[in-house]
Amino acid sequence: MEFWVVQSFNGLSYAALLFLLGGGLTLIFGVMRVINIAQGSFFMVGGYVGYSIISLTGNFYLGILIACLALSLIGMIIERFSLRRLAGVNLRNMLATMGIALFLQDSSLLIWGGDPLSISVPNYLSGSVQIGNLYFPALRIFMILEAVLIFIVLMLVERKTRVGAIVRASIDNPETAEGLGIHVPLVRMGVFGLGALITAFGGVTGCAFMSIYPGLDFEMLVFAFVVVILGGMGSIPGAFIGAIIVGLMDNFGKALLPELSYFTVFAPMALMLAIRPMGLFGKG
Amino acid sequence: MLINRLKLQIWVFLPLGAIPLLIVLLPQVLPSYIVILITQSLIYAIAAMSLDLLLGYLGLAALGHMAYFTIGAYVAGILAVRYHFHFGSTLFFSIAISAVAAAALGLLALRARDVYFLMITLSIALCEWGLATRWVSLTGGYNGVVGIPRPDLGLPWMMQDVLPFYYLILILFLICLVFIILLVRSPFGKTLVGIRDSESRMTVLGYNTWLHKYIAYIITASVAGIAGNLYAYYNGYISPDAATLVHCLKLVLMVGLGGPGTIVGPIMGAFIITFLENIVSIYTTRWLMVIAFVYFITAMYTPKGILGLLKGFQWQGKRERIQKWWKQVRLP
Amino acid sequence: MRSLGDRNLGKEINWQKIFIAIILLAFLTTFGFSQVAIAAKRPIKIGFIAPVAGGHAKLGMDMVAGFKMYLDEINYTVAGRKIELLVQDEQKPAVAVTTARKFIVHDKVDLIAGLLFTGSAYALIPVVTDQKTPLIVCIAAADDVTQRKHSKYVMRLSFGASEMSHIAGDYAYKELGWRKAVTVAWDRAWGHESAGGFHRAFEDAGGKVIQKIWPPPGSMDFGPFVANLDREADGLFDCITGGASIRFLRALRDTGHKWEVIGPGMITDETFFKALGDVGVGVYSVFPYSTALKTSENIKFQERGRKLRKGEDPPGFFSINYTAARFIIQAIESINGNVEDTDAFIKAMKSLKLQSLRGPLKLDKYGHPIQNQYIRRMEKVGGSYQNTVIKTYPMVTQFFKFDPEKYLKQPSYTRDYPSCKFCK
Repeated sequence: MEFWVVQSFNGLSYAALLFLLGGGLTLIFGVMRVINIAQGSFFMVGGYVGYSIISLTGNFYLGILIACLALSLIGMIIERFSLRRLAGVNLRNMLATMGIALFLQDSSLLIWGGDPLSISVPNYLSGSVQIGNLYFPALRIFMILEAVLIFIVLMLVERKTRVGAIVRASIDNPETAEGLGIHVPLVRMGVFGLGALITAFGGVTGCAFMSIYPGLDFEMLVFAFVVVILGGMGSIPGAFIGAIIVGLMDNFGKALLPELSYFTVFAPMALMLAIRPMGLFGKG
Repeated sequence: MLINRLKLQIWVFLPLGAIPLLIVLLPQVLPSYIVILITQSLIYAIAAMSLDLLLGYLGLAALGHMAYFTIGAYVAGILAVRYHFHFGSTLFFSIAISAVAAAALGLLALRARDVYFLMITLSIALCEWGLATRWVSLTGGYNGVVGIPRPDLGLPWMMQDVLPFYYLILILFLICLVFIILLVRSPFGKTLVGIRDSESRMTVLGYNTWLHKYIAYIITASVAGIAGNLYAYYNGYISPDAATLVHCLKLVLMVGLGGPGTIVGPIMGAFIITFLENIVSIYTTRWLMVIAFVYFITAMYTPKGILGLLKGFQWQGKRERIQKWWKQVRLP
Repeated sequence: MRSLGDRNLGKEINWQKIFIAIILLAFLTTFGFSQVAIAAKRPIKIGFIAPVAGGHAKLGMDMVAGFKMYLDEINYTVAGRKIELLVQDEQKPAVAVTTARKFIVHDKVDLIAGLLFTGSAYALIPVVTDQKTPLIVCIAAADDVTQRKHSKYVMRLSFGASEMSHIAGDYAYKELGWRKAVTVAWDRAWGHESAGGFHRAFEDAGGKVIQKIWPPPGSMDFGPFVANLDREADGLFDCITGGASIRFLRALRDTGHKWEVIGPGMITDETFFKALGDVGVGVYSVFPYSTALKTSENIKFQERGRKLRKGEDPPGFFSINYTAARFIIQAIESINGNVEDTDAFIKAMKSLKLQSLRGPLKLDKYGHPIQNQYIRRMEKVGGSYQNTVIKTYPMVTQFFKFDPEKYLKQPSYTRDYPSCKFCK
């Protein structure tokens, strides 16, 4: 019984990490039709920026805030000056974002050096919560809360607010939207910035969990893709469910059948592609 | 009019025509490192040409094409090292197994369109990467297959030496080149272009577009398998690295950089990227930045690649402008 | 889909021209460079291959910096000849092969040194053997490079995977008092060999390995693995190296169970101190070096190194490469700088005994070092961390106390060898 509780919890916190990563990817794709190879880089750079701010000021939340602002600024600049012209042309935007990813990786090496770095979290996050004789690391709980928060915020904004309606209008029918006075280019820039922002938001905590080092960006990218392919490119609920599936399957897979480790990540993806190529919630 | 056309022909096609001659004769005098790099470029050029057929001519954006390259390479490595197969047989099996894999996976991949097709091909490559790393008894896992010996062709020239191996690769490259050119010029090839331009029109005209795409997929996979086979012999080593996202994107970059839909473009792209990767790192540790720059500029400013740029230059306008400028300069 | 045709032509063409110019420049540079290389003079040439860019850049740069530090100290001269060091990025094993070929065939180096990746080492053995060029591996620890796949041209001046873990197994049983152990190691050759060595030595001393766990390389979350650990064990052998070491040790701490841990030196490498913090305190490791090693040589070296590195202690990989450079140069000196005589150079390497900053060092007949292995424990001393040396195993060979001939007849350590007789 203990085993199942602990493993499920671990699986869910892993899923939270994956959602924080894949959410941005799917959002950016869904709205802008851009496949952002630099997604892992945003996560890593978010972590690095957070690290610098936290080392300077000692304030964890300030670190998250500045990281979000910094990455959304970077995101908006990238969108404005390059991706704008490439939207919809898949391979070209992959090449462009690949270039950006490599640039960010080398720049990070120059700025922060190559040693692994650790983000100091507030004391109440570095211990474990004890329930019975089970230990639940506080940082994992925090990651789950973050993921759920982001999910709720994104869903609400998309469905319930005027901003969401504006965004949806800009995607579905840009010309009509422009005609209605919506400044479509600004919306696109804002959405890309938002995608970068939520990635940075997750990045600081994720990097606190995993420690930051060069090479983290590409290591994580594969998992972001798996989640998004499973859940459907462009769907936030899809990324959420996809992350939960991958998180739990991978976790239980490693615990129960360790020889099949990577299969537990790739098999659901392969199965999904065979049955329903557009993913769980993807639009055909 | 005609004179300008002729001048265009000379400017563009003479250098292109001279290149094959150079490629055959020049290596005798070039430093051996350059010949080694040319050899590597030719291998990637074969793979790039095959992707171009899919991407440029058929319009199918296949991201995971390196999957078949990797299959060809592993087949060559495993058969050569463990079962001591000869070069001819490994080549045959590389082609055969890549084709069979493409036949099976193509059924799956071609069900999707656009971005989902892209994702499926990527997923195939990723699954293959996962398989290669976990099936240690077959593939050697992370460390891959090591110690692949150079082909023993029974000729007086040893393939371990730089020049003989280069000529071997060159011959195979030329065979693939001719094959692809013939394919592109054939009715089959023209149909592919038609499908790219408007699939619905081709369907209405009575063509079985799905079958055309399927066959093209298998053929291009087999050619990629050839490239993979040669890659294994070239390095003497193959590992799951060949099927990663980064490696797949590299091939796409080669095609995109040179110019999709022109056989020559991807060949140039293969040469440029191979040389850049190897030479730049000699001069600076910031070579990643240089590569990043190439990726970025290719995507942003050269949608039709370098060849597209060359074609796009307005030769006529230029000629008049040069004449005007010359008159101005001469006057005083 | 937008086209570029009808837009802002002036701005477009500039970029395109620049781009073409750069490409042409690159080609011209290529040919120019090749001409220059041919015209160059003939000092002693060493080709160094290490990952100086990308994900492992810090390790590679430390390797190069350490090697160069020694060459700087002797002014790049030995036996009256100048030394030329060519450094190129390792990138990945396939590229290392091409680079090695370039070094040998084009630059005509006298020997190749460096190498971080296991894959590179294995891939290069046939190449250097064929070309009769000595290769001195300065980090890559794969066992068979100097065992079942050894070549007269390949030597190593770093350490071996099982070389260190044999000692760990012995120490764990005899001094830490463990009777049952679990091993957690990366599921790849490096991890297999490391855990295998521990397993062998630990059971040889009388202990029992009751569980072996193999996380796949690149694992982000060790939760499922640590939750499954058998708590009947007295201790854990840890071969989760690289940046992941930090999150693995944290995951162990998060289980709430106090684990005693021993592993190869990389798990508490000095470069991780900042990131590890208190989580690493108490962790034992085996390594042929520690920055806290209290020999007069090392203390002086650390001082010199700190000046060079702006106050930062020279870490493990840096120091290992410094010693490697010193060893190689002394060998060259002993044959009067005559590196062209490859056989004489190899003989000199295999007969040299050096008193280095990590203790005495010499090579066995397979080209692998015989050196001290130190048991270290990470501690917090006076506000900063260090790997305190608590025991020395003098002059350890790669075969530990086993007979080399018999040892080599057995298969290499893999997931299933030695087999886990006491696993459930």
